[in-house]
Amino acid sequence: MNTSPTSEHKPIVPPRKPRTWRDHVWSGVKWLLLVMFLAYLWASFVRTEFNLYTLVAGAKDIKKVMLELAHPDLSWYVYETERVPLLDEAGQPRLDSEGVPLTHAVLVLEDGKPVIKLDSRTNKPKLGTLPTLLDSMNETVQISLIGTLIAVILSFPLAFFASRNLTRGTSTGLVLYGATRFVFNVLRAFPPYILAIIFVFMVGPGPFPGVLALGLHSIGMLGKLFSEAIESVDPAPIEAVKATGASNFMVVWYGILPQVVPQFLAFSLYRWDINIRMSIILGIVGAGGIGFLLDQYIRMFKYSQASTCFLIILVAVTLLDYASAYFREKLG
Amino acid sequence: MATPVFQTVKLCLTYPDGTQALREVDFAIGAGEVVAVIGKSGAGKSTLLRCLNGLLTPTKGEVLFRGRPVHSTKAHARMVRRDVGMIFQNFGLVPRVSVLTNVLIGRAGQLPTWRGLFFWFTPEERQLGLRALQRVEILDQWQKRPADLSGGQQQRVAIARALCQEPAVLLADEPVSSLDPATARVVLDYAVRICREEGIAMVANLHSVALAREYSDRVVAFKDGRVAFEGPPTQLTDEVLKEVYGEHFADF
Repeated sequence: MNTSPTSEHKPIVPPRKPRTWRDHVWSGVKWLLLVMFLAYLWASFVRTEFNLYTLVAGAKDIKKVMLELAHPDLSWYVYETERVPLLDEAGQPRLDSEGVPLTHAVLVLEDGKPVIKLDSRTNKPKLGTLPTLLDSMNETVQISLIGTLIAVILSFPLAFFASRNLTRGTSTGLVLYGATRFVFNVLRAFPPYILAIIFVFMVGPGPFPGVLALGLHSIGMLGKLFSEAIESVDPAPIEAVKATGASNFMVVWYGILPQVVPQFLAFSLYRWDINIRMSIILGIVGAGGIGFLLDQYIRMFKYSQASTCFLIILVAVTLLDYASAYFREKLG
Repeated sequence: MATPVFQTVKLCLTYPDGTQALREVDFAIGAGEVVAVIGKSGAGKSTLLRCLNGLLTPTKGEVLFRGRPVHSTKAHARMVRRDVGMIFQNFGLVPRVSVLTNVLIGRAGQLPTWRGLFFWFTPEERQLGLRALQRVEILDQWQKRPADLSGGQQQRVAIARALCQEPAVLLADEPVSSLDPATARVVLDYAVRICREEGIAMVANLHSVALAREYSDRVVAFKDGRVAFEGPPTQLTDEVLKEVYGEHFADF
């Protein structure tokens, strides 16, 4: 039996620096910061009125709403009876376009038998909720499409000036770089929601302010993404094209563009994807599209129509999401 | 010797970080001459090539192309680059466009901007490109993208691109350093043979002394930004190589 203690059997004590008064103060500060953070967390719960009881108690109040939401209005036509006084202001019978006096009902003979029929002239079919909403969903998609297109067209040339690797070296380049970066940052800083409110004031409610808001905001986002793609290109082809005696423009066009085009297209598609969802929100401040109608339905407590909105948005966003993912995969 | 294609006069280049890459280099290359430039990494070989075609501007001294200064104006340096082909260690091919388009990009210096904008090349230019591809025997791959080719094939495309410029000189910056020894020989064979047939002068930075001996008419050895040796390959003795590469040269 080995009685002599060998170093193998002794527990290893790692060398440790002795703690100075500074270490003690620092660990005290760390504890204090942790306590302060937890207190802030608690204050945040209080401030946001976070309360599960209220949530459960409120559930019964929205029963009617939930029932209506569960029954979306999918009518293609609605028949509305137009209520028109039978006599006009002068006390004479009101005539229709064929010169026949208006009645509530008409008596007609069908196969020799008298049948009472509602006067079809006063019972007009009108497009129902579904076609109206499909049309405004289409408007939403079109708003986002034009907004994105404008942003792509404008940010494409600007992105080259906002790339470090292209503007390095000359003072003009440095100024252009700073200026374009600043413009992108300013455009990104304004949420599209705020931009839409401004443009609704400028050009009136409708799809146009939506296009402007999305376009302007997307320039900032796309410009940043585009310029970052340009900054990460392989410099070898650039030098090779330069060595053929090409002009600066041609060096960019041949040395850089083929490298970044797939990324540019993928970013643009992704931005369109975001803008479709964004333009629904913009409808609420009067910038057209399905969001405008959704807001109105909710304000008028028409929940089954609002439910139709949600359904259509869900279907459209899902379809476009798949399409966008498919194309981005193809490009990548 | 008639007017040299390239001549440098006391060429000095100091990088912004203070590295003296070239120190008073006097160097000349005649028409149709094949010159190998050897030396350790950082000896100034690549810097010399980039000074010759104006990609870098020397801090002192002059480069003359056919007797005219290259660096007088930026525009003039560009005009010189049109007549000077260049190939690189990492090929510098443009990804995602076809091999033929890559070759035609060699015409970028001559192309009017409006045609370049739409990648629009005339039938004559296409013929020029296809002939260049035929010279390096890679014509059957013309529709492929560079990424689908092997390293050796990619460098041949790069040679074809330089040929498409119809250059007076071909600058080769370590053209075969990223290739295996067998492929390196094949690629260098193409480059040197075509240059000799067309009377194109060639300046090649090479890491392999064996290849430099085999292919060049003249070897220029650089050490610390200066020309340490200049002469025919036969004069490239072990003493010279020891001087250029240091004591460890015996290992290879």
